[in-house]
Amino acid sequence: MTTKLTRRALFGAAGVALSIPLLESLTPRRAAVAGVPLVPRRLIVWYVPNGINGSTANAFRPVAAGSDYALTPMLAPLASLRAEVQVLTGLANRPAQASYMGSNDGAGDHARGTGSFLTNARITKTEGAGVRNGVSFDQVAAAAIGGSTRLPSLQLGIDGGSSTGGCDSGYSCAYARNISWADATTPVPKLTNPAVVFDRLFAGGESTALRARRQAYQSSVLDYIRGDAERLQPRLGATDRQKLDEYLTAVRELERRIMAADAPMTCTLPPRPVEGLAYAELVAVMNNLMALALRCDATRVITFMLGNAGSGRDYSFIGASGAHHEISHHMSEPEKLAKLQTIGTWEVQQFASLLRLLDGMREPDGTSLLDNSAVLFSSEIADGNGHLHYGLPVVLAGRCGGALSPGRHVVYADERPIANLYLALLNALGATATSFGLEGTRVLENLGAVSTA
Amino acid sequence: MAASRRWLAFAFTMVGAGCVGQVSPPEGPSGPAADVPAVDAPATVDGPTVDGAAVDAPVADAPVTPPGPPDPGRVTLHRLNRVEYNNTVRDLLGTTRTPADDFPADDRGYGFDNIADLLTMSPVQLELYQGAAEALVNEALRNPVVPSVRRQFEAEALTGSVGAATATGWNLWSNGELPATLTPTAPGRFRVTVRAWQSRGGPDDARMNITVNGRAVMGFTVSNLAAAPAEFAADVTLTAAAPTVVAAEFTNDYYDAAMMQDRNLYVDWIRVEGPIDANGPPNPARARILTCDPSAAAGEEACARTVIRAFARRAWRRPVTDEEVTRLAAFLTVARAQGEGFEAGVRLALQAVLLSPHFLFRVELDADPTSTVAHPLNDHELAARLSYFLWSSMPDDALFALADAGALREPATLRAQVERMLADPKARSLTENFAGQWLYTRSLAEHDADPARFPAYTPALRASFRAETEAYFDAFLRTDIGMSEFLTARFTFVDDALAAYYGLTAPAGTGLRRVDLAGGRRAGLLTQGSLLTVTSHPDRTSPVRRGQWVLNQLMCEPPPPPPPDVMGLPPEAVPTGSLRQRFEAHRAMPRCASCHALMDPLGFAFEHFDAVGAWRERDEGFAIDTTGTLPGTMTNFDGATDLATHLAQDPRFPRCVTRQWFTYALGRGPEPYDDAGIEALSHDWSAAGMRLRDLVLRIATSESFTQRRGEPVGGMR
Repeated sequence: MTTKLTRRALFGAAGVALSIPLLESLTPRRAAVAGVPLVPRRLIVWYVPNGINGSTANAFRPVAAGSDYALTPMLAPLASLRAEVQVLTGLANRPAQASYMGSNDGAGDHARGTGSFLTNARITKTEGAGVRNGVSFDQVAAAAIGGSTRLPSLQLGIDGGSSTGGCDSGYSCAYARNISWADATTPVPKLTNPAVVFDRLFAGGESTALRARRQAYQSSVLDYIRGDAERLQPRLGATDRQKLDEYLTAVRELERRIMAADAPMTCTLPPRPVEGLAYAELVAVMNNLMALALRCDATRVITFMLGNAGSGRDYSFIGASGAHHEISHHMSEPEKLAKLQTIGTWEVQQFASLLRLLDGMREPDGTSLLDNSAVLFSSEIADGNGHLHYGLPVVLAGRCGGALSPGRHVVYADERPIANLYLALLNALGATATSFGLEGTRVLENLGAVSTA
Repeated sequence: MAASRRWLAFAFTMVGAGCVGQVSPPEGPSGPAADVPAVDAPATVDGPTVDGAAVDAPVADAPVTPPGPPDPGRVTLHRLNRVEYNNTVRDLLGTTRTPADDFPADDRGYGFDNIADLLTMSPVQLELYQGAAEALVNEALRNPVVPSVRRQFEAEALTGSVGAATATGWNLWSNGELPATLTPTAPGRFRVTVRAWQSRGGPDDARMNITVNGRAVMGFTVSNLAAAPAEFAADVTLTAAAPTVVAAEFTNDYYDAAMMQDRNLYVDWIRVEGPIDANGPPNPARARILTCDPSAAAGEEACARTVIRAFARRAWRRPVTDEEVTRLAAFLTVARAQGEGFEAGVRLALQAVLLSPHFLFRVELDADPTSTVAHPLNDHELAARLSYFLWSSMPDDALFALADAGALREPATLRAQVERMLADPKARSLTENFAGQWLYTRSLAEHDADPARFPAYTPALRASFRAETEAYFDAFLRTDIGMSEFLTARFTFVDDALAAYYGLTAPAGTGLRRVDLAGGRRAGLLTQGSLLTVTSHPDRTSPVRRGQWVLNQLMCEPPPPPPPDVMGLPPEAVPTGSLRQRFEAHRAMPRCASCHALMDPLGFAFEHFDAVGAWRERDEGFAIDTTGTLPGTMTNFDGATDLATHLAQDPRFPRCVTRQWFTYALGRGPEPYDDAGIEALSHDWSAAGMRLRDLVLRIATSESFTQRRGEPVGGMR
């Protein structure tokens, strides 16, 4: 089977997203606040499961450091974007290791690596009661820069979740399926149906009078249910109150959204995506939605999961049959490594498609969306066989408004905490932070203009 | 309770016997292995003889028979999961919509997706609830009665394509039409009537068409004259919202000046009336909700209160207070402020009911939320626990009535209700949701098999697999066959396709039929295609997953996870043996050996069944070895059906079945303080014949199910 993408599936091919007319009114409207950059900065995190491996030691990771490095076979899909990406080698997420700071939590590296992927926290091993993680850095960014957009952040994915069995060696599925965490106990769930995503991002379009009435009604309903929750809360025990806190937070967020929806979306939209797409088509549609969401300034922070932790997807459609997770335990067998290279290369191709979309969209000042974004590609582990949480595969695309200097392969000698990268990105995005997670104590150096070294 | 103690001792030694050489139980504080000191336990035991030996060990008794009354524990505020939401709005509103299909996936723990601790709330979730509530209420209150509107166009006020106005009408003096334009208020059937007459000329009478948007829909012969105008009517279908042209058309003009013959068509008026089939599809939901007339003497306010009280009571699964009704009735004022009336206000109130925490969560209250003293649930809380356990949905009218009367918790009533509910078609949810997750049948929908290797694995076969296992489970739930036969029964259910796939001869008939398996290769649950498939990889069988499945789902003894820093094997040359031989090389590594020795032989017992459950004699040309030893015992087996026979006799099986049902029934994981109760339950149930309905009854009437307690300040549990 080939991966032929129908025009219909891609809402009339990728070109539609590119053909959205330049709308000068978009950015300046929100740029009046002193100190806020004229063109907003944005973040996309693009997660892939099961690490990255290829047939040779350097199938993915370049050999030379600096700007003259040779692109590897698995990075070849990024050739035309070479000046816009930097490959980062030598980053680790140590809290995801089985052994950390004197505790050994045993197996479950996929859930642990995914749960702590963006939090750099030590997640609590539990199937149910007592789920505990940290806040993820995208949510910190959303709190800082997501306030004026329709959605503070957007969580997308391909797989809702398998319907039976445990998720990973005693870890709750919450860890395996969510990379965005609003706080230590609250994962931010992702949407997997592109039609629903589309509605959530772009719903509206009724007349002003109708919208005003609708807004009044929705606000009154939210007022009412907040009252219900506040009356109920004192009658509950501690754990139940925590559940109701989640509810109240959601109510407040929805109230904010209803007010924000006041400013109607002014960008031209393609048709609503169709449902029931095959995997490859779905990935392409999700990429389109991400680019469109940024283009329309519906949100500035997006996280995307190509699969859930330890995904067992079958890649027969590109000639790599078998369950991805099982293949990732390659035991150095050439056949499995070759399949992993096929899968990983395909993943990089999809990532490159997203970058090309962003690169083709112009901001009012003539720069591209990619120029003003940080787009991060990585995985919960480095190597599927050894379940390593150091030497993570990291590609960082975009200039983030000049804060990043892509076009290089940057090698860190001693496995720096990936939390330092998150700290650097937070600062690049305009969220002032001095520490992050368990290990983020200083801004990762040598990323670009804002770096300290 | 000597028997129960003997069992515990047995359980204790079994866990201890697993994975020899494991330094510490890596499951963490909540894992089952954490409650027993694995290291100190005897390493090898023979099942039957250990009972007496270990029963004296104080460590086996201490943690599971605490003094004082049993602790029912507490269930965290439970958000409806996706299935529960869909079923609840189905039963509340009579809708066929399933809005929760698009909600984010519910996280799963302890093998199930109804674990309250994991059912979180988020802005996106609430936003989707909001959209769903609006759509559901609009659908429920859809007014099926569309008022019929009559519009009459006087011909002299219209302009024809030919002719001229007269004092009372329009004279079409040659072929042409007289059009009237209107925009229907609603789509539907409309009656178009034209009042007309002719002036006679030539051999024929006048011919007239009634046209819609230029297309003739009916033709008439107009033979009457001015002295006797007549009405000509045609029924037409119009679509709403677009301007529509309805016309009278004259088609056979005749004029002979010499003979003074002139045939004309005269139109008095054109009338459009409709929609005439004024009722859309009937809407029983509306009638059930709007039970009073707001224009009656009592007034809108009183009617709104009646409607809201009845709806909120069902939606919130409990009586509502006057204050709650008053707060909801205030939406009438909100609607009036926007220039709308009664119905808009009621709509808002119902939406608010569906977004309230009282609907989205199953609220159970403690008089003192910080007291750990057990107390019975109130009758409405108990009704909801029952209905969400057995139906994955809200209580029905009968349960409400009993709860209102305070009669539900009376033991005989409770038992009778459980029996009634199990007989209800809604108990199908146990098959879909409990068995679907326990037996992994739900996973079939998403399971891929390599199409090149397994062309037989089609969507149709997948559906047959699922139907087989569901029907098989149903047979145990609906009849008195004991679960002791669940793993070994010599019957199953096949349709024609599955019969052919298994090489069986099905009795004559259509659809699924019960078929006798005596003397065949298959027996019981473990040789069903569904299970054999979903525990396989897309391209080959997975003895590890099959072994894990047996340990997890049937014995509740999850194998300890691999050592934290386990690495793969060094590169291997061209495979030189069967899968089993290659695995055994892996197992030869001491670090891996202890656990794989436990898991793999269980899985290898199934090796005669390939990755889509078909029988095979050899594996890649190599002979298949299906022998092994049941973990924790000296019992040897050879092959899947032999393994099943031994598993069925193992005391861990009924205990595990009980734990699985307990977890699902309560929506929480078993805690250490539950162990004694679960053991006793399991024992008594086994002694009584292991009928599934009996187990459901025992759980539904247990302290854990009918009682709860608060949680101490500062303590999470």
